[in-house]
Amino acid sequence: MTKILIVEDDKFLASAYKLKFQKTDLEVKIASDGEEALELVKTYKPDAILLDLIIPKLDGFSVLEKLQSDATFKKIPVIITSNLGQDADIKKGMALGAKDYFIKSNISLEEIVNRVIKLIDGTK
Amino acid sequence: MIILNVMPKKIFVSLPIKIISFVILIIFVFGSIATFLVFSRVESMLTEEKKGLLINSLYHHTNEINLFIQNITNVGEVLSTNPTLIDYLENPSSVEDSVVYDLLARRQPIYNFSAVYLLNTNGDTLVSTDERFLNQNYSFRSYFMEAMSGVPSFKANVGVTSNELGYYFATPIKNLTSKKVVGILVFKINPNDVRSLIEYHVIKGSPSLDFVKNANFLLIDNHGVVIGSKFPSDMYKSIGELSPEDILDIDNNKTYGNISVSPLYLSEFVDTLKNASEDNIITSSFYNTHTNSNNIVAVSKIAGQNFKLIYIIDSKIIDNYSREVGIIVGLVVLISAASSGIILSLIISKFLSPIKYLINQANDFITKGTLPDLSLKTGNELEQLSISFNEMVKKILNSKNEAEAKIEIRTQELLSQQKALVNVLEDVEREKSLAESRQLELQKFQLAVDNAFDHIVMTDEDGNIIYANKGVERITGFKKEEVLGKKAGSKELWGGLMSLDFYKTLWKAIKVDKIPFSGEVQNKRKSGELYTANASITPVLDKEGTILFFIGIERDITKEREIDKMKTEFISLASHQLRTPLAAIKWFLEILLNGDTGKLSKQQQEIAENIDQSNNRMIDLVNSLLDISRIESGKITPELIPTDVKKLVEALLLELKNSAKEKQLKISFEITDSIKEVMIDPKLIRNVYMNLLTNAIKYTPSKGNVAIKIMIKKGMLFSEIADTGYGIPKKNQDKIFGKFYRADNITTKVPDGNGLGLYSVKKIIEACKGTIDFESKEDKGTTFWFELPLNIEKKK
Repeated sequence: MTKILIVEDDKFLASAYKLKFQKTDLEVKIASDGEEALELVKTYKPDAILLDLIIPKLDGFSVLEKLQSDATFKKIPVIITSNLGQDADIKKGMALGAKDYFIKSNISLEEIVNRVIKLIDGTK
Repeated sequence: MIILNVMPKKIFVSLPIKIISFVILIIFVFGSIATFLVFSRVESMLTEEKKGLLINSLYHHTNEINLFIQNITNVGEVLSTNPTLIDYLENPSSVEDSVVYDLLARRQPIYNFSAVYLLNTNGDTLVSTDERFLNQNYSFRSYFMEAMSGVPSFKANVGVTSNELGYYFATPIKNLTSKKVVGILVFKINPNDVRSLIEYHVIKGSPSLDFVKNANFLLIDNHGVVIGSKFPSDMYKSIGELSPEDILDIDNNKTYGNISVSPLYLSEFVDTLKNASEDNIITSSFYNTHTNSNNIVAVSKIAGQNFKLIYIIDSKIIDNYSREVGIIVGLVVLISAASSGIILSLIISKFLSPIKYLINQANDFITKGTLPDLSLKTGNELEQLSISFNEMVKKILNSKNEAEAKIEIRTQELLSQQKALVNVLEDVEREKSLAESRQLELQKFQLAVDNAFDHIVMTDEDGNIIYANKGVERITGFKKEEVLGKKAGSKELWGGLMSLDFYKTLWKAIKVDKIPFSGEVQNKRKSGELYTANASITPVLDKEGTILFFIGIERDITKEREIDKMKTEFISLASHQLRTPLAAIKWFLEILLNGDTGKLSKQQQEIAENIDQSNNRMIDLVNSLLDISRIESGKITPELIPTDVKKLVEALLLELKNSAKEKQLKISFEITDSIKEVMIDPKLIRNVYMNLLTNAIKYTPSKGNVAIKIMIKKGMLFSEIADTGYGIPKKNQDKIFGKFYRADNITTKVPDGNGLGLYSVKKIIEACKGTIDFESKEDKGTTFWFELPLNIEKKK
């Protein structure tokens, strides 16, 4: 099964993600802070990552930087899903190697799921 | 006398004309030979060159089609190894139908398929995104049979019931260990996608060829039958006669439904067609009895498929090209012959004019006794002759006038000396009073500069400080005595902290281009504390444009920058904190409304929809507020990129289609064809069109009209959005661009709206150095228009 890692510290948003992804054939695990995210990347070996930016312990930009500096983790496609929306944040995220940048309040879960699937189809 | 008059006439009439006619004749004869040679070579060269270009174009076109098929093949491969699908095909009760349906249905919009369906090994449709295919059996189709043998298959078929052409891609699904085929996955490809792929379009990397536009394009399937063409009349025609095997195969598979295949005009071309392979594009010429003209044909094979792509082009187009070249060369020869004649006659008459002049002067002297002026500047013997002649005449004249002239000169000298003396005395008096008033002005001026709040220095042309005001000490901490004579903005003083490039641009501007320079600089006070300053340096020039000195003015803006930074951080944080609960509400409602947690009652559905609408309004409001605070903090700097305005607006209209449809509004869009790509900030300008269009739709009662027009006017990109809506009352018109302002007449009609749209539109247009205005009549409608600079000079 295709595995998705969702990095999201907000309990409500995390449970919304879970409810939506249950209806697909994708397997999902939630990390609620940056350190847990890096730990799960190693043990759970996800096929794609949805990454929030403002998260405890280690922020999303740093997580992304750490992933990019590792040859094997670098290949895992990352979509940033954050509520930061300034141009500078978007440019920084994309420059660090994210495949997409979504502002959560401006996109539906359906669109996120479709984007994840297209991304995984493309990397397989 | 007689000799002088007759001789020149003989020379002037015959010599120039003889030379000119001879030269024109030579040019004409050689020119004609050249024209003939060029014309005869050009035809064969052009034919070869165009053939080459045709092959090149076809090569790129074929590659593009290959890439399209490759993409679909990849999607098929990825899905065919999906364990959920394999489990379902091997044991249908092990997986819920809805999960399999979701798996297929999600791919359909992503790849723009018309349908995605799953067949078992008997050819029965188990799951399909198009329910018409359910419970149908497709075992007779060739794509099914081919895929059952274990390889993907791409086929074009005419539907048995629909009688419409469809393109189908079938992928076998195999058990991952035994490799046995357990079912077939079929994508029905959107026929529009195939059509736009076959039709002429500009292909990336391929030369854009005007003449290829006129070519016919044919897509041929494995039977040699046309399944895609520019002309509908070519469809389902075969290249030459069909073989008995092909006829049998077509009958069995019902490939073209009820349509019977007849031969096309290309029967001479059958053999060439057979020889085309994947990396071998073949061209040949033949006489087309169908159109009674010579044709050039190029054919390529689509990778992995038995399909072929054919270009057919009329040789006439190429003949026209060579004729054009011939005519141009001929014209050039004619024009050069004519212009040589004119130039030559001008040169000759110039050469001969001194002689004519000498003769005329001599004639006048002989007949009338007038004094000749023979000062010729020909630089040869004629000039020498004229000089001697002149000397002689002058001597006589001189001795006669000398006495008179001397007296005249003396008197004049005396008069002018007297006049000059009076003038000087007057000037001295005037200068004295002027200097006094200037001195007073200068003192006031210096006092003002000395006490100005900003830091002001004056330097010589090498940047050494010759004056510093009090602001310098107040801001930098350096005393006047410490800075005088030192280089302004050097490391020794407050500067030297910027990059080398910065200083290079600065010096180039003020010293080479001699224009003022302004920018933000990082400086250091005497105490070592860093500060940010807004600096401007202006060269002061004299009348000849030589630099006299520089004036440097700096303002300490450290505090402003700090406040800006805090503001940005606040916006950032606020946006995050506001948006997170809004996103949670949005997503949970989406799940509820989607029925993912069970079907809602009609009333529940309605309530949830209302909450969703209000929540979306709240999200819009937060987004608008963030935009506004960004605009107001001066954070908006347009990023100009070449943008296709037509595409931008068309995409917006597609987005707004539903809301316009709900109100039965008629929307028209006109754009001047020549507007291709313009340099604008697509994000910002999209926002402008979006706001104006949503307003037009929102504030126009049902069955009204909205018209968008885009054109170039006076070198600006001019856009106009007109509606037949409620209009803006006259008394509200001057405030309509104000923050949170909404016109009186619409607050009750359309409660939804935050009064920020037009405010941000105006701010964006101003940031892009454009202008916006409108005209409105209550209950008649409103027309907004805005102009943006084209920024052509930035286009590369």
